[in-house]
Amino acid sequence: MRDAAPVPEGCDDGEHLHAPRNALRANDAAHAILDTVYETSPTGLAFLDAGLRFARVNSAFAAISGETVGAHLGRVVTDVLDIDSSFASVLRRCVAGGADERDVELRLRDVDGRERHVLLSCSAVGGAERPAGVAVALHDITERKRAERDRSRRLRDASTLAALGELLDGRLEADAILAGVTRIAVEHLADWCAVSVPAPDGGLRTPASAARDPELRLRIARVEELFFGPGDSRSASRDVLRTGEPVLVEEVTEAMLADVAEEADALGLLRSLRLSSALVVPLVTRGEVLGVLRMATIGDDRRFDVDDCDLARDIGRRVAAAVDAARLLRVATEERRRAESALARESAARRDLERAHARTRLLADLSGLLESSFDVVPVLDDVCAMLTERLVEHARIDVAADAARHSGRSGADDGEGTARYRLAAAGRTLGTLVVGWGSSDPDPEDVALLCEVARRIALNVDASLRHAERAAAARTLQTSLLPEVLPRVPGLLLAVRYTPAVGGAEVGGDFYDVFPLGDGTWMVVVGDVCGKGVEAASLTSQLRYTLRALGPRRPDPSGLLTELNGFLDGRGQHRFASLVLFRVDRSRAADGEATLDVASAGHPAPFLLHPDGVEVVPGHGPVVGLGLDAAFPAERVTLSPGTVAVAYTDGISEARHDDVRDADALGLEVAEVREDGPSGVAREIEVRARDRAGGALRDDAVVLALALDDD
Amino acid sequence: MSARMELVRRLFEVFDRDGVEGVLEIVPDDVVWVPSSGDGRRLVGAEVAEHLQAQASAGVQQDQRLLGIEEHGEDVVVQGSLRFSTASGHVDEQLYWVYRFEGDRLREALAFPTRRAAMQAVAERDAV
Repeated sequence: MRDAAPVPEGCDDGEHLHAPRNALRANDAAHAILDTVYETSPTGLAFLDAGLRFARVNSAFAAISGETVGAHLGRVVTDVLDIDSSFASVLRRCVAGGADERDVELRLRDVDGRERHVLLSCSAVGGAERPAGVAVALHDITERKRAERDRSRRLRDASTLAALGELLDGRLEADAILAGVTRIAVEHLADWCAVSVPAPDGGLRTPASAARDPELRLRIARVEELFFGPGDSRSASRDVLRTGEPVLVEEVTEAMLADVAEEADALGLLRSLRLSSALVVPLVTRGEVLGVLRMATIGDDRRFDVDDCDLARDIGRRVAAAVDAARLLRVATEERRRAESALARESAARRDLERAHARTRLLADLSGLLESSFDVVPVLDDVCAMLTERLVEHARIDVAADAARHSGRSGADDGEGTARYRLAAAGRTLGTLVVGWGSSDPDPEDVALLCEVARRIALNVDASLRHAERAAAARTLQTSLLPEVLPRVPGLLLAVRYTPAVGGAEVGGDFYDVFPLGDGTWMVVVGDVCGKGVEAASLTSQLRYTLRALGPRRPDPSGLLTELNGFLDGRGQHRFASLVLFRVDRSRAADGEATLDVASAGHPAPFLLHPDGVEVVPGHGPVVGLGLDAAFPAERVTLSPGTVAVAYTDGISEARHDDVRDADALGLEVAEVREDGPSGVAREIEVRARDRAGGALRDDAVVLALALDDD
Repeated sequence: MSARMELVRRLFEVFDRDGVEGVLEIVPDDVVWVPSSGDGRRLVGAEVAEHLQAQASAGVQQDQRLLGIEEHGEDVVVQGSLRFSTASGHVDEQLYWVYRFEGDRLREALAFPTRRAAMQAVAERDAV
């Protein structure tokens, strides 16, 4: 654009005048065109004189500046436009140098203070020697820049949130989340970022912080340490924590710094940070503010605005939710751990209880075994078997030589993992319990159990030994009370079976005897003295020898019992006895037969097994020894060839208390073995009594059978 | 007294002194024994020793006594008593044995509960 001299109006149209006239017309046309361009151009156009005063401005330019066209004219550009220094510098350089400038991007603020972005092009008018001014064209690119910024923001926001999403995806540790979010904020949004949370002492603690410049992070931390103690009310963070609302400081001013720093040195320190804007947003979730996310920008390049604040709030919400989830997960994990721990303790307690029950049951079962019998060998074998089955790898019980016993499972070798428990009772060592634990170490409770088992085994062995000693003594005494062997009775065949009560440690009261009466007849006696032990043995002995002494003088059973009863009455003792007497006489009966005179003193009735049936011989007398003036009437029966006579004690007939058998029943159930003679009949009677008793007889038992010994 | 009866008496003495092993040393190896405690089983030679040893292991002590002896042809009939003693009591039985010979060679020793049964066995052999 060039300056043109004004063309005077009314000039001639002569030849010598044609050129000026033409020039004037041309000038007018140019003005008209210029006016039109000015008025219609969407680009802001202005002409400034050499002093940069507005000489002409079009409406588009005025729209950019916000002033009217007229308000520009005659004023220096810097008085009209709120522009940065670079704007004026470009214009001055253009005027001074005559060089055009094209599309220089600049910012200015309109009259309302709104920032606008423009592309400035300018051309000097009048040349460098005589500059008349500068023609300016301003192209308002504010909207474009805003759009670019918005797009950039959206990209930034998206990348920020994407990074945040990646951070939070699966991240379940609060500290890691907080460290990550400060890093992301610094990468995308701020120059410095920190997360602060309430501390137990009422202040704030900062578990995570990050900065573009590591030194900056340290310096800010130092400043915070100096100026913002735990209870500092000036901290915006406290406001945010209290209100849950963000605080945005778009521009950190000198006044703000001065307000914080009370001393000159402190102000200098604050200034040195070059904070330009700050932002504090809450970490809020489910209505609870967990902490604050703090950010700052450094220098003039960028400052936070409302959009940044919105983004930061969004970040704060997401982080808070993640931290809350992490916290809940931690709580849940802790609860689960506690629950699992409690469950484990309960399981352990239950196992301990079950093992304690198992030990108790084992001890009870072992005790039952040990108490089941005085026969120590099979019992200890069973004990070893039970221990091996339920507690230890193997077990063996060695009993001392004086007990002459050895028990246990084969393969129970001493060696590693083997423990020995002394079996001691009554001050003497009875043997050793040897157990193998296998590969595992024994539980102390199991060891204690085995100590108790060893103690009980020792007691059992000791008791068994003592019982055996007593039983041997009892057997010796019992043997002395009974015939050493059945005598040979001419013409008779005898069989007797004697069984002491279970255990056999005491002398029983049952007895039998067969002795001659001196007149060719024989007396067969089966008796039962009340009670057991030494006193019963004493009475048994007295009865036997009294009968043997009185028998030849009073050979009839009735008289003999009467004599015996009188004899016992005279002794004044309070024991009694039941007896049955057979006097066998072969002389009175027909050939091949014998008579039996049978008298009973309160004794179970004897019976005869005839080929054609059972004959019971009822007794009528009471027991002897009670001081009664009693009679004992006798019955005479015939003993024919093939007949077996049987006498027995109540250990046979009452083998089972709820199934007492009378003589007839006993006879009937063994009638079929009659031909097996006295031995066969006696054996069958005892076998059936044992069957009724379920094995061993509970009481002493005698069964004596006799028959004629003929062809 | 015949040689057969003498041998039988000697068997009782040896059994009382040396047990069944002593008895087996003075009789042929193939003698058949049917003891009263054997439930009718026929034990040959040393089997009777095993049987009595099993009884001894079970705590049964056996004593036998000769009460009477008579000879019927090649059979010797013995009345005796047999006592089985255990810790749980004793059994005292009087019974009969028939010692069956071929010449002077002992072939069988059979227990019977009664004289009637023993003599029946003798009679049956005589009948054969």
